[in-house]
Amino acid sequence: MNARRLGLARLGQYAIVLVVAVSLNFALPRLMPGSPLALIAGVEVGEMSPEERAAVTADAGLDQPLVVQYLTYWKSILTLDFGYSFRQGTPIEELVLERVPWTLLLTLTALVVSAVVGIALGAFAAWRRGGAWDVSSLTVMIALESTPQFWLGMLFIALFSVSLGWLPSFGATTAGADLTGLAWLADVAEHAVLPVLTLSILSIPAVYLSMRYSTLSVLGEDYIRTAQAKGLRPRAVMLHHVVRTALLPVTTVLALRLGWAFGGTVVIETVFSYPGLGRLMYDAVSARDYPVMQATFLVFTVAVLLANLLADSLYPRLDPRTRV
Amino acid sequence: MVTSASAVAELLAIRDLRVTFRASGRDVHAVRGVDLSVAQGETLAVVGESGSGKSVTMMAALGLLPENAEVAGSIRLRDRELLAMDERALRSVRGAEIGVVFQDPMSSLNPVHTVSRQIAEAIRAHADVSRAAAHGRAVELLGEVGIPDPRTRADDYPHQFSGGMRQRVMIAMALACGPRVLVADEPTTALDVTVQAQIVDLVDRIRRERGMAVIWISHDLGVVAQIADRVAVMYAGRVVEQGPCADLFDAAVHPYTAGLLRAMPRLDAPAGTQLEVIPGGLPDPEAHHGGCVFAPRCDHAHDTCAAARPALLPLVAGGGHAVACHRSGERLDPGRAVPAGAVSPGAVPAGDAAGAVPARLGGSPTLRAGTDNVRSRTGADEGRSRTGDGESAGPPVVVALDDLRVHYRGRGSWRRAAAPVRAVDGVTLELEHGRTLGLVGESGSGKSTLGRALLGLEKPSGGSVAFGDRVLHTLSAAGLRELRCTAQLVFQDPAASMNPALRVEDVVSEPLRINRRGSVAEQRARAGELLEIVELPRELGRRYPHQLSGGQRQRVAIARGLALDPRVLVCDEPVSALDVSVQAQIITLLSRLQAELGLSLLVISHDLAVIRTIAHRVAVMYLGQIVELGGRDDVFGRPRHPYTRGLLDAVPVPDPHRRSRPAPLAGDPPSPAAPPSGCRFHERCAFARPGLCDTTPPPLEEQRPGHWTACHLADEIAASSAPDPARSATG
Repeated sequence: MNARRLGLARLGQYAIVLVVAVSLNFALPRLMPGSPLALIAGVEVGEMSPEERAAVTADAGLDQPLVVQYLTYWKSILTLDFGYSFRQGTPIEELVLERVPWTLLLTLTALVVSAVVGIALGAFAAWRRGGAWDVSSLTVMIALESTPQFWLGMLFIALFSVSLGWLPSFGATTAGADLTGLAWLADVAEHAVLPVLTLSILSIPAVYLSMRYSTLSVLGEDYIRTAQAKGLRPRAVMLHHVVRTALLPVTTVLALRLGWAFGGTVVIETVFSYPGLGRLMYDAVSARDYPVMQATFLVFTVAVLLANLLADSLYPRLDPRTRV
Repeated sequence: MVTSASAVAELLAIRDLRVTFRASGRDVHAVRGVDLSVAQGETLAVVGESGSGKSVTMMAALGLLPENAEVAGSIRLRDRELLAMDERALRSVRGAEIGVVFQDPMSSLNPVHTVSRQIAEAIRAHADVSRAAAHGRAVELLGEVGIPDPRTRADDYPHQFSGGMRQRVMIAMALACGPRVLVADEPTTALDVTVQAQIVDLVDRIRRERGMAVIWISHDLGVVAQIADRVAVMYAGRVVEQGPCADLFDAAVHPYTAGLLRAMPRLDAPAGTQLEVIPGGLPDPEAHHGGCVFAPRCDHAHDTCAAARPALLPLVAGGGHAVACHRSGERLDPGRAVPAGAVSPGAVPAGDAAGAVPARLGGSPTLRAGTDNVRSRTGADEGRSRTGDGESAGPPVVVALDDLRVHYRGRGSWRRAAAPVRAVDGVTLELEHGRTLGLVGESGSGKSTLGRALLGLEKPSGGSVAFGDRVLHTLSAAGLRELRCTAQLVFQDPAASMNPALRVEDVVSEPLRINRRGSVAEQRARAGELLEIVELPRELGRRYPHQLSGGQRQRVAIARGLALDPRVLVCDEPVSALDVSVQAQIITLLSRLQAELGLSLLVISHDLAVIRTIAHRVAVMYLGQIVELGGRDDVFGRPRHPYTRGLLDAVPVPDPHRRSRPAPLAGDPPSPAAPPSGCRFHERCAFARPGLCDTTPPPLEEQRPGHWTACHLADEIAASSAPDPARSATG
């Protein structure tokens, strides 16, 4: 009962964030300098006759009162009707739906890889605190943390695609190969390796650092001494008591990293010419394709919110103290 | 070295154990040659202050010391040498043959696993049993340690249990594999006195039933006297005295043991008994001592003490009572076991190597008096109230609380508040000029909140706090600031209440700086004065808080509290974080300051003996309300409220000959968010009368002159029960 009410309250908080994000999205073109017509309808305002302009304005609904425009905007969002791309003339909803799976493939795989690697390395470093592994891994992680992503991506292309020729450097599939079944899957996997690697490597340091720190503090807890005094094997102490408890703060970091990963796709997908949402956003920005920009922005926002919601609802399952 | 006279085979025997921690070129000698042993079915108490090495000794037996520890000597369990075992063999000893219960059950249980899982884990670490069987055994164990409804509670998490219940879970876990030895490392220190009594009874019952050996590590001599068969007293990494419990309490020979016993505030001492102050503090753990570790603080030290280390030798050949003191022969007077005359508390330490001890500490007569000056005042006041002068003749009231309430919003959602937590729920109390009011109660009774509300640090939800005609919540911010100069606070943990980046003199003068009193030079000079007032050398002002001992830090905290010449000083658990010998120093200091400066003290403590030593008047708090209020001798000597009686009964008397005591108060205090109807205590009260106590809240009435009680049945209870000899000495 109480837990449900708290859950509802949390959902409410997310709903508020969503409303704010959508409203910003709505307000942005209307606040920018110049005619919103240019931004919303994507037409060369200066070249039109007054009649044409009125027709386009009416078509875009810009002659309506602001409140009506706002409500119409909401309606279009809820029905996934984002309008048309200026550049390609295709419905944005189609563009987005086509791109979403590719971006999810990259980000989710990268999340899993960075979670597993970061947690394992971080826990191990903390366990052997001050040892050679701890010191060297910490140095490498801090270096990676400050590496620009595009640079790393380009480095990988130069190394693995150009010099060694092991992996493809662009696209999600081999163009025109028309593969099916397992061959297609292998082709997709091959293309995903470098972007996923780049994204993962950029996320690992944050996970590693938080896991290392969290493990260090758990190692000093009294209940670890209790576990040892029970005669548990070191591995059991480490897995069931240290890592299990140290994971709690790391889940929050992971949820945040998902948001970062989405942001990272803008650069990574551009570097690897990968047909995902990030690339779509980049292209939209270059072409000043505002409706597409707005739509991708919204999708990213919702995705980050969902990731946080997931972490939030996962947390009580991991930490019984937060179950009310 | 000690030849135990007992015919029973030694189960665990520690011989000449030395533990040195090596860290960055510095050696910390934590244990400097310890001999201990425990036989089957026996309870050995290891007594010592923090830093005495008692916990390190036990951790060494379990092989759980950090890697930088260097261990030498011998620890044998039956005929196996633990120190020679590899990690795998040691693991089969831990939990299976030696079970451990740690101090703080809150932090010693993993918060993310259910209690049954944590117990089952211990079982499955040593026996090849199924998950279900281990779970079933865990439920049985929970029942054995007195968890009500163990089947349902087994799947709860630690945070869903109260402190006492958590400690029961810890005990169940330690018993899981049927160990031969149970090590209990300060198992009741974090618990309330009523819960402590329950745990002591539980451990003793289990020891009897299972025939285990128990090693009970404690700094609390009261508990030790209640539970131990034999006692070993540790000091600075050595056992200085060891023997049967009764011998040790009746005839302590080592000056440290004797000093500890006299330094301890106790409920059964006649009022007016002096607390002995053991001057100085523990020796530097990094230093290597050729001689007796206690010599620098010892009144009896002579040249040999500094030169040669005394061996732990039996007083009588083959006897069980052994002492490590060169002068034990002289001190052991067959006619009078405790050579009380030989130890004069005021004597200037002879051959004193401890320069840290201010010279005045030994000589000043005002320092020695614990209850001395308190006594005379109370006596006079009592006389007055008995002759019927009543309130008018009492000292003027400095602070008056009127029906004060502090409620916190409960943990609910952000939209709908749950039931408020009634931390303080209708308290009317007066703090008199130049007198000390002691406030006692279990944790969660609201005593700290009351203290904070008195200083205007908590906003009252109802009622008022008035300093004379100035009512706190009506004051402006400036008025409040001004008022705060007259009322200051001393916290429990002096280390946590000081900015570690400031020098001691800046800590002390900070209140002056904040209130812009005087120039920097004047502030500094005042800080020096203040340090002298609290009996610290001025030079200490240049140091940082972490360079000071716990007792010195608490003195600094008191000096800071006095910086603005306050009229009121609230001390919230001022000695709870300190060792017994240091506690006595601080209590004595507070008593002296209170008398000399005419302060009004509010001393908040869960320790009844401390309150009895320092307070003129005592208020007993239960679930946000005052249940009994009166002169110290009235409340302690003639308690009328069943809760007060229960609290007093639960305090362990440091006398092994008086072990029988009434059954401890059962259960835990109810939640202050949902206090019981009627009398809040009725659910735990043996006298509660249905239809009265559970429906009508008893008012706090002056049932005897100057003695207020909130109980419907106080008169009947007083008439029905025989006077308790344990308390008759007090009256």
